[in-house]
Amino acid sequence: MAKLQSSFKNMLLVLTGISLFAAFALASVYTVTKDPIDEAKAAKQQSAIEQVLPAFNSLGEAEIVTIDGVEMNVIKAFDASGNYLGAAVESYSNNGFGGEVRIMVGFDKNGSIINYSVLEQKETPGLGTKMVDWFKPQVEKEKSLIEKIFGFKVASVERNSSIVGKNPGENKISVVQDGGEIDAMTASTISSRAFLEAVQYAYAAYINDPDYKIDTTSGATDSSEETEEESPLEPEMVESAVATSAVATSAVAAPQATMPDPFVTEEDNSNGTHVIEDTINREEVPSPEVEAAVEEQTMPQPVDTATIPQTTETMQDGHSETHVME
Amino acid sequence: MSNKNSSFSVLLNGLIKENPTFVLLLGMCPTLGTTSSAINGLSMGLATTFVLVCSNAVISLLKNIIPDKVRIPAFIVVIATFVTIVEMVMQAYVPALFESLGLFIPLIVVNCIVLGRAEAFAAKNNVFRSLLDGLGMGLGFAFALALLGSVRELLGTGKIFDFPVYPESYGILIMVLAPGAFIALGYLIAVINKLRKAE
Repeated sequence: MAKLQSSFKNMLLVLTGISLFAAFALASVYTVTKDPIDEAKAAKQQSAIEQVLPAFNSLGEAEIVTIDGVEMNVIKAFDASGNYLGAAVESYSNNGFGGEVRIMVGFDKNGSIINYSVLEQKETPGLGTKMVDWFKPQVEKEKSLIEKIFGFKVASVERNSSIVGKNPGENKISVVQDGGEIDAMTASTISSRAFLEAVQYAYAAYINDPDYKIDTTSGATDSSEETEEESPLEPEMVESAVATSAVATSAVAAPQATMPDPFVTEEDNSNGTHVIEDTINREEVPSPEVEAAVEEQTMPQPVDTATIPQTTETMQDGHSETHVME
Repeated sequence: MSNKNSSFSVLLNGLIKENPTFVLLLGMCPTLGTTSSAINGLSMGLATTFVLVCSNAVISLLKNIIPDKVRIPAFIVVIATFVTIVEMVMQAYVPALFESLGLFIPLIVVNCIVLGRAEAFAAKNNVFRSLLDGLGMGLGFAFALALLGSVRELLGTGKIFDFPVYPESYGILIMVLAPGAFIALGYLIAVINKLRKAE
């Protein structure tokens, strides 16, 4: 069979024909898969609710609670005799490293966290995605092949990262770096902050109290308030920090560095520096001390209010060392 | 040409001799983007295989009625249709996988392998051979992605297909991140080239 000529009529007919056929095929597949897609979404929410609440008999209607513009669903659970058991709250934060983090948190009737489930997240694979079980109590993991063969036990690192059983009304649900009591995920401080922020919003929606204080300590996006608070502290901070780093690096840099550069302070207020700084934190944040040290050497200025005490401490250490060296 | 032997060689062609990832270096975007774990790489490869087989067959069937001047738009419409079908089916029946591959499924449309095979093979050969070519190329791509995913998952998290080999805390984190994809791909291509030269 010879090929069709590329005349206008042929081209028009063939392309229209193919497109019509494609449209028909897509429409039929859409009709077939529409229900399963909706079911899969509903099933996911349902299983999340079951996961974060104790065994319940019936669920109340989802109530929409808005705190600071964050719209959340609160679903109350009751047992067979109609007693209130607690509630599952669907909450989110837009301050994740890859965008929105959507979670479901279950609270018992006293406000303690029963469990949580991550519904949606776009964090870095292998880093921020660990939030799926990082904030749950540590469990004994399946033995790895090497452990099975050679029989030696690798001690897992103890961490205080579980939010289960904690009550956001009494416990401070934010990362250690921000003065909270939860260990952030290694190399994923921003993701950890976003997650814990969503948890705090969920609690605010659960007690339905817009005045509940939420630590929105996302270094990447919203830092205008923090920097304003810092500003009176900054000049001396800059001076001492630069002095320390000058000693640490080289004598050549010292004459320049001891002069507090006004531009450095200004630059620090912009969002750009914060982003860079947080990327550095993400890469190497094994412990608050190390983080403080990293900050001291690379970016002498403090990130936010919470890190100031740490930074100052290390700086004083730095000074005493300097004296010893002199 | 169309005896049994050469049909088989058409199938093998994509798997080894002209492996789309390691030899032709086509479709690098999904290769680097989706191979953070072995299962992700394999699923992406299989999704592409499905699209490749279907589009090759349909394009080979339509090759005589598609005028030359509009062949590229016609091919793209056919390919995009199958990709959208894959996307909807995945979302309906394997939602967890759909979430982890997410953005990369629609991107199969612009995967050079699919259009490349349509243009280079399906538009010139009969339906059966085009089907085999699509299958061979697709499986070659899936194999390469699964291999790359396994290497990255093993070095990065100490697991292969979620099966723990050594404790996760000893993993090299960078292998799971984007730079690890380039590093692993570079070494794998070097190894494959060495093996091919030795033959």
